[in-house]
Amino acid sequence: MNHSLDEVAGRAAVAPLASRRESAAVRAWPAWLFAALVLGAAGYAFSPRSIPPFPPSVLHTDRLLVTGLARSGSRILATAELGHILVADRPHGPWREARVEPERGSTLTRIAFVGPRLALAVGQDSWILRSTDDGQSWREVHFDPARSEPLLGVAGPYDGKLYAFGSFGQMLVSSDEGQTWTEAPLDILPVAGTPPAKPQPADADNPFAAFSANSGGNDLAGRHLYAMTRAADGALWLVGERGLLLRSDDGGARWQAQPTIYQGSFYGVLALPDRTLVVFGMRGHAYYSRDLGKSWRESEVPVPDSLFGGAVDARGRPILVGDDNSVLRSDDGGAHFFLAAQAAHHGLVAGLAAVLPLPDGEALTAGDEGIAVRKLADPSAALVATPTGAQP
Amino acid sequence: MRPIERVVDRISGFLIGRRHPLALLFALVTAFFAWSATRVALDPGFLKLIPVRHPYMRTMMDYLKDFSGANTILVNLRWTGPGDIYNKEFMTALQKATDDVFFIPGIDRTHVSSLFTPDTWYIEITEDGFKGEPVVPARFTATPEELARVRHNVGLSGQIGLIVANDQKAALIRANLQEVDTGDPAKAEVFYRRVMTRLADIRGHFESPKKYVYTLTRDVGPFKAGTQPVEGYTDYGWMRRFQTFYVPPPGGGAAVAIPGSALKVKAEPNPDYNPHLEVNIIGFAQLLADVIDGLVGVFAFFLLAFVVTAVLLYAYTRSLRITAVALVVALLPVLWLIGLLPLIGFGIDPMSILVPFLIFSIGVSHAVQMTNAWRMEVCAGASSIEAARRAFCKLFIPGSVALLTNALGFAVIMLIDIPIVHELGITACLGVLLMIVTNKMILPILLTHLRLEDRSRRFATRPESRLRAALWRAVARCAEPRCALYAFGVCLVLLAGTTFLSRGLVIGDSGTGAPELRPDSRYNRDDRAIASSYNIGTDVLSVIAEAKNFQGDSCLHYPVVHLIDQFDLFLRGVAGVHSVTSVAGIGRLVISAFNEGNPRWRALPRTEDGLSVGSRAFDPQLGLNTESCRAIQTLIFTDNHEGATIAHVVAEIKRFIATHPVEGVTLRLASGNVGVMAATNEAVGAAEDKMLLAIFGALALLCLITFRSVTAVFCVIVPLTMVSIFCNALMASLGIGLKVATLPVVALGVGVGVDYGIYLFERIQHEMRDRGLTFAEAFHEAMRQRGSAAVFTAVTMAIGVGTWTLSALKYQADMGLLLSFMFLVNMLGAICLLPALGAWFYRPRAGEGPAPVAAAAQ
Repeated sequence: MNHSLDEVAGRAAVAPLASRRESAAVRAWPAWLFAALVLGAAGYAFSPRSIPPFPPSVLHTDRLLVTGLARSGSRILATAELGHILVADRPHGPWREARVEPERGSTLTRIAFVGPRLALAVGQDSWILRSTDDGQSWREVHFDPARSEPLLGVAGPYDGKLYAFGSFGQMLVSSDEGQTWTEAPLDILPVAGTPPAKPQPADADNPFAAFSANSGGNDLAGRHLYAMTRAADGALWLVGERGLLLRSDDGGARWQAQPTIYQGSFYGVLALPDRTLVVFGMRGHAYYSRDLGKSWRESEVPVPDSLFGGAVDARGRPILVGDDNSVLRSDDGGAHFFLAAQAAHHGLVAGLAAVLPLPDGEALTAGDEGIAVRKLADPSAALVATPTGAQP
Repeated sequence: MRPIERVVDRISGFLIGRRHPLALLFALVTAFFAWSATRVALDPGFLKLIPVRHPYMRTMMDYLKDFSGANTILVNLRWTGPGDIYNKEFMTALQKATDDVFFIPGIDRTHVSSLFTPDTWYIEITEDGFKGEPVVPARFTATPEELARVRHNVGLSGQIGLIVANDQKAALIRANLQEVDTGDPAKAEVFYRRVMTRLADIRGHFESPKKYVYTLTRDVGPFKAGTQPVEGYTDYGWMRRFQTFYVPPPGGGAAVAIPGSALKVKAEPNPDYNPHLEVNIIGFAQLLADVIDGLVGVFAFFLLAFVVTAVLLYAYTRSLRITAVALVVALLPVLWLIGLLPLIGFGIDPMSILVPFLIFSIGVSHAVQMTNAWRMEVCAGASSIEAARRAFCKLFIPGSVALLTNALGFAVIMLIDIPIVHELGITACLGVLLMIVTNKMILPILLTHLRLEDRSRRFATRPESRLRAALWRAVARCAEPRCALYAFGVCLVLLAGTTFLSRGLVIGDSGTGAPELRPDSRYNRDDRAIASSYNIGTDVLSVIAEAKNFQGDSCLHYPVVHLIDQFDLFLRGVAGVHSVTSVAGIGRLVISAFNEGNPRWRALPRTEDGLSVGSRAFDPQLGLNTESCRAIQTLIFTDNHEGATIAHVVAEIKRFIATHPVEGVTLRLASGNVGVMAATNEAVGAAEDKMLLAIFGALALLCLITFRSVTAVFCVIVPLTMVSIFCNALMASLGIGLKVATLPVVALGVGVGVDYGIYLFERIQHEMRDRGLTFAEAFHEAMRQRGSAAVFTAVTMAIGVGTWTLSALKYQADMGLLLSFMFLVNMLGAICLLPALGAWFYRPRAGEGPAPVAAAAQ
């Protein structure tokens, strides 16, 4: 008695079973077709769904530390953290990554054009990179991972020589357009008539205690070197840690220490077209000299931010950048600076390290929050400094 | 008679013959479960919500003790008065709020941060080095000089956007909750209740104008009557008597539970109340509190659904007795189930609280079929007892099969590897299986005692109204091949559209804020308030780097920290990532701070000596690494927690991990709330196909066994498949993502929706086989006998779950909407598409008598 529906159907049929079945299957084709379509649609509807496309992961130029900027013609280069070099042909980008061989992953600190299509970049671990194709591709020319100390600046060519310098008085010189580099320890003549500098007291709260304790009496040669330029009279000026101010009249063979004008560090030195020299550094300190460095006067700076980078614009005006995304400019040869731009920041720190003046009152800046084009205010519309810097 | 029918017949004989002792037995069982049901506990818990076996969650569990995981609490204090936060009133309130947070039970006291905690430092770099001090000076008394000092320090600390709002009109307290007593429903409930009470009090402390002091009216534990052991800022109103207060005894030790009924309350003015203060609280515990508040509404919906069902039942039967019996029988499995839960160690959680509804709805649906059949027999002249026996015989097979498919629907939900869903599946499965006893056995016994009212008899035997007859005829025309083609046409058009739409379905959330709650809920407003005034989001994914076999501190090994450094930079380039916090990033800041804060020094040196300058960044106190950096976590704040964003970020991280192997270092996904979501979404995605295949496969098999016909299987399954596609399309177009709450809907909808098809087809098959009717005639007959009951049950069930759409809980509203849709449209599928398919599968030859039924099988 255990009959299925189909068997019942089969018995009810009059015609031979096989042909009946065949023809019935054909006769029911709309139902079969419909069923097949539904199942097919289900297979498609429930098959794995791809996630909607997202922009590919690339370096975002506003989200990485950029430490150096350089320009030659329309080509703009920028050095960034972990050994990345960015290339653009317009200030607003697009930026692309240059090829670096080999990729060491050391953070770069500064970049400069030192000849036609010839550029140098320096960074951590005494890394020096050289490009001969306008910054498209870079090859390593110096690297010292064992010492693991940063180069912090590159300058030249001054009389055919290129200089790379950095932490603890490290100085490298090249005479072949940067292909080979040799160590050139600083030979510093102390300021006449001053006793050797006193060692700093060993103070647990003082992070420099460790450094100064080792360097002993005259520690000038062990200080970090941050910037170099050539004055109108051909003298080289080198500035650095704890007020270090050196002058050389013989292409860097010997350096004459200058009387101390400031205890804090200098991070940059600029030679203006009108023969003025400007040095700048910690906590809003800048000094200018109208007599090629014989005498210095303190500039008026409206913010207490440390100033890490500077440049001279096409009209010979110095532009300085530093902490709290501050951009300062002086329209009177460095005597007075005013706050020309200050952007909100989003992280714990927002220092600017480098600046490239652009036409039309703009400047390209680089720092903790990457590369940005900033509109500079006129002195009449100078911004009021806010002590904390952060603005909503 | 088929053997199975003989078995059914014998069971019916036994059931009716022994109905008195059986009734007594069932009454005893009911009494037992009723007693047991009083012991059921609420069992929330963070760990129940996560797919614990997923590799991401294993990572999270491995480091739950070291890193905060995802159970964070953020308390935001906003100053709505003039000026900014640097005033005495605000600072005092913030200090008190910090203390309040500190004393939340289970809080990790080493990781509470606010302006008033000692880990909030500022660093000032000077020519002589740098000095770092707490932002708020010791012995702070909020003098104007001190306030100016704090304002200055906050600026230097870099905390603006982190624990001080960008507009400096609010400040944040962050804390992590350590879940203790996980896995024990009773203790977990107490723990979360205490946390939630404290959170409500923190809010009330500054927002409530009144303070409530409770006095004991009798001795409880170590507390004497007349003492005032409890103070609070929450007005419980009439709910106080149901509230339990947990108070640590004076001598220390476990907190004592004081029932609200033992306390009398007195309202006093709240000295800390300030109309210029607003408190925002977000975090899992607060979310849980709001979800539980929302669940109170569930009972209102239950009542509503119950009343609506009762009214509909009466309108349908015109018999108070049948209505009462059907409702009682539908409530029985609910009671049995709740009674069963404590026995198997389960509690009620925000998901499984919905099961009783579902069981009730399904119970009503089956009771209607049974009472309907009984009523027909009675009207045809049978005695109550005989009618009950016949109704049982007729419905035992299709009813049990339908209930088994329901159970199957719930069982496959367990393929989603998340404890809360497991429990939902088990609970629901048990409930449905209990229903086989209550509906198929208790109901017939009850019916034997029932005498149908004459009114109802007249109502049932009255000639069919013209409208109704016309409606049934119209429906029956679907069983004619020509009309069937139209039905196919309409369905195919719908199918094409919905299939296209359904591809837009996303796994995970598609909005912002807490997906459990509605966008305008207090919690989500708080979430938006916090997200919009700070730079860091509330959505964080954490990746843990294990570096176990390095000598000394792993963070002083360049390959380790360099990998983190690269990872940090890579992530900052990934779309959907808002910001990143890593030991490498902090290490670079510390090293640069030692070098006068110069950005050119923000790099990690290769030597151990060089790295040790930054060792302050590798302090486990910062919460980013364990002792000696054996494990290091990188916190990735994402733009939102939409499913697609999470999937993209996780895919990119996996790509990074694959392309950056470093010996001795393993990067492991994932912790943080986004980590949990990523794991959940992956578990849901992995379960989707498995679940669908399992449910449809099992249903097809069950139908095949029951009907012994392949075409019958197609008739039942094809409409269900189509409705499932519709459901996906509906979700995609309403922006409802596929997630823990909505994934079970398809399985539930299919498991329950198949009932209609089974009940109808079983009748059709009977009529065709026993009476030799054509398919169209058999369908008309089936509709006459069972169609109205099917339509009725679909409508009542849809209304029952439809009430959920009013819920304050978004997931419940979504589930209600989708389930109601599934129930209704599956019913339509069964009465329109099933006959259309059958019309062609069982199409009679022109001029032939009996139909060549199912000739096209195989």
